Amino acid sequence: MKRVDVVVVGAGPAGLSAAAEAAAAGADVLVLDENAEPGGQLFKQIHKFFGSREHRAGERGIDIGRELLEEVEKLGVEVVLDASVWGIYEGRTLAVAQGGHTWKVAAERVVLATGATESGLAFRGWTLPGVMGAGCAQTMMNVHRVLPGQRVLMVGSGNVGLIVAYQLLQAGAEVVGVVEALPRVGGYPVHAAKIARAGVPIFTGYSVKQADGDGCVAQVTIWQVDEQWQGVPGSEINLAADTVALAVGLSPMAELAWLAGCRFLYVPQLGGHVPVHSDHMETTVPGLFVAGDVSGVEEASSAMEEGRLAGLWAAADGGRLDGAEAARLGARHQAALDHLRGGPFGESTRHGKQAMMAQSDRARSQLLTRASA
Amino acid sequence: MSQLRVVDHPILGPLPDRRLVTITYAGQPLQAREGEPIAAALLAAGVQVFRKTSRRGEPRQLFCGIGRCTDCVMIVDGQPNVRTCVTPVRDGMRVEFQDGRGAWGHERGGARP
Repeated sequence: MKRVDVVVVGAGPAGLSAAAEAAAAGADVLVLDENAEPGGQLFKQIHKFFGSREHRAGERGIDIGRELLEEVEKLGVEVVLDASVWGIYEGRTLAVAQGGHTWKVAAERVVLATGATESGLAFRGWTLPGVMGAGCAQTMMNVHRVLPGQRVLMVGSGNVGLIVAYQLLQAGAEVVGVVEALPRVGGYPVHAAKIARAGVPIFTGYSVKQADGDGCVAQVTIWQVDEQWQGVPGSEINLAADTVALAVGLSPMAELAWLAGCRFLYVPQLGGHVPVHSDHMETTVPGLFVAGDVSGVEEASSAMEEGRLAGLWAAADGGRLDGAEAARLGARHQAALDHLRGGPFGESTRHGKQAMMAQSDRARSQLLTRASA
Repeated sequence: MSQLRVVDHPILGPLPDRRLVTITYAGQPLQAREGEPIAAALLAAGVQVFRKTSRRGEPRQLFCGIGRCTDCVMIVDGQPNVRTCVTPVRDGMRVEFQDGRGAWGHERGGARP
């Protein structure tokens, strides 16, 4: 069986950052990813990132992805693609499926950076061809250069919905509207302003009633929702559309953490059930770390900072790095995370992470009590 | 070129040149860009339904586009339930509509893949 110091599952922004940090500390690092290409979802992010300059604001996801790949390559990190991790034993032995075969790898430390999946939204006709995740539409047009359709209705006005709506316009589609059940736009006003300037109507206080069509979407009916989120009869608006893109949230893809026996906590602000973890990104299973959306849904910028922390502490935990040195190096990334979660838009994430960390502290003190008893 | 193909893009620039391969869908030849997933090639060709569900016979196409949801599975070179959104096209590949859970090529009288 293959043995390495650190295995990172997922070659997205969090995983590559973790791999770079652990490798820089001298660890032997293997990155596994089930996709044919590394980079996770970075290569469909053609917009400029937000935040301050040190968080790579003003840079596009595609460029950040290339830089991260170069960084891990220089550090001698092995990245194995088309490799799905399907099992995790005693916390640190992974079973990998690759090209119809399976193999195992034993790791001293494991970092799970598996990301998140898009949530669905149930309405009549939601399974019709043409209804898809906003991320799916984004992948098709920005990575594969095919529009998902010609007339698109975006559901959800968080940053994902607003940004993808704008990218649909850039790729040449018509966006017939953005629907938002809340009485106000969820994402940054600057993104909303861009699509409003392009003439896209934003229907706040509306939800989708149904999608109709013979074999695929041809018409979408939206209607107002009341304070109890119930549709208001008589308020229907019919829109001709061949595509409905759903930007209604993401959920952590945490199967491996469940398999490993990590303690979980339901934190709605973080997208659902998240593996409880410390500020070192360590879960309740010793030696098993998490980073990025799997540890709570945020943005690529914070995923990269969490990845750096997880990589540092995985290396330190394995004795590759002095604890004090890891703390010194980690302080910069922690400060960056605090900054990214600052302000009114970071408030719910901040509260979610705090609730989760409290659980982690409790788990840790229980562990220590048991150890000293 | 298909009207769904993004030929010019303000950020990404013109569509990069890529070798074309020929796959067959429903027995008809179809041009695809080398390396792209089957689903992208079918989408560009205007194929709106990839399969029908086993119980209710409902149409399905794409949903997640990154290999998670299995909405887009089809029969590829005689093998059913292939995720077309993450399986790249290959010259000479045979892609077929999938009815329900699908059947292996040899079960339908074809050659074992």
